[in-house]
Amino acid sequence: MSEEESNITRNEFLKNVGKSTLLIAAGATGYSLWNNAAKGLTTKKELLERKRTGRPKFSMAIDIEKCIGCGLCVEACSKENNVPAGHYRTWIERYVVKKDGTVLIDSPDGGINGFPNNILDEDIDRAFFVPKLCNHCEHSPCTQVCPVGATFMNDDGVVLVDYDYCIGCRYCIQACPYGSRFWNPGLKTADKCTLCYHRITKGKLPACVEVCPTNARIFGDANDPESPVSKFTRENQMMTLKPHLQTGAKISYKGLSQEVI
Amino acid sequence: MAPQIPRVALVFGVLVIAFFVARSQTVPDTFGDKGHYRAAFPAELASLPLIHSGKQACMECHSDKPETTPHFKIGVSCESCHGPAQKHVENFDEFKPFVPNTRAACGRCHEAIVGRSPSFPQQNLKEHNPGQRCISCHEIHSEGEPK
Repeated sequence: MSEEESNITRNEFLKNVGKSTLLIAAGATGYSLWNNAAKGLTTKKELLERKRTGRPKFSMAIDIEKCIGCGLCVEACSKENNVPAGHYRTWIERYVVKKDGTVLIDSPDGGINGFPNNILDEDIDRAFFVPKLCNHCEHSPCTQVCPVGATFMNDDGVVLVDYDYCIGCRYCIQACPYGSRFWNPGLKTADKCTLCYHRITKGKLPACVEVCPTNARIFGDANDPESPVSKFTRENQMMTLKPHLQTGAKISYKGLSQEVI
Repeated sequence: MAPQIPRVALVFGVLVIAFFVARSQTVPDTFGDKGHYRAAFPAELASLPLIHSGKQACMECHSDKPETTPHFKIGVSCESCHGPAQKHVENFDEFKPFVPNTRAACGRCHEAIVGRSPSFPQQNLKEHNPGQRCISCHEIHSEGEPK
């Protein structure tokens, strides 16, 4: 090092470091803005707004009072989506509230073969079935923890798993507060309900909604005020599961009891 | 200029190039086009084949059934009882849908079990004409109310 350079004072050196850091930061910000602009997404907020214009927002409403626990939805889902045995994209839970306040919850094989009549009804206060599935959260915990971007919310509101890109770390399975995700041993990826994406994009109903004999499941586009799901949620008192988590669940329930929430 | 600077610059340059090469190899096509995901995936998923046809497809041939099926009128889909029928839609000669004629098939919905709303029509299958087929008394595809 020459004598001239060593004459720089400590103060000047720090100033130079500060200036170059600012320059590099400005350059990096400029590059990322340019890069995003080139891809057509300027800011995250604008991206979210664009998602909501002219695109459907698929959602489902479930009428608990109508569910009879036949399990046809679970069976249809398994067949439609080739779900491996022992795993369920949708399942039914039976809640039996006894007179002394205890709650029995059962879900034999996810309810795929219906429910046994194995409970004596002397002590029962009330009993009901709750169909469950992925809530396709607007602010989904599962997509936030995915380290590679294999799970994401599509611009029509459906949360999907990219089976080709999932690395199988299973963070999302742990992150889901609803237990809606499972490990698919065949695909060796995380798996879950897609709202029958291959059906709804062809204008058909999800398999569970199609076969429900009591119309306990109502499906549609929440952005369309005339859709069945919009009408149903407008005309009834609706509640989502675990509302305190503010996940923005798109599956809402009519007649949801305190025991379930 | 100090002699070590070009060497450090060279190493740095090689690392930067290696990073971009590795990135181009590992990030799939269309990733990031619409967000932090592979933009081509939803279309791939949407191209999966159907298993259930949906009742509109049934009615293209069986347009008489809704009138003669009380269950249909109250909103029960064909495939609720007959099972997935897309294969039948595509090849109706070779593939015939399931015909539910057992007590268990009716009991799936109509057996009295804990949890079923009392307003829903249900029977205790152990006491209600045991051993008989439901369809020997109850007509499924008949006019009027379900009976």
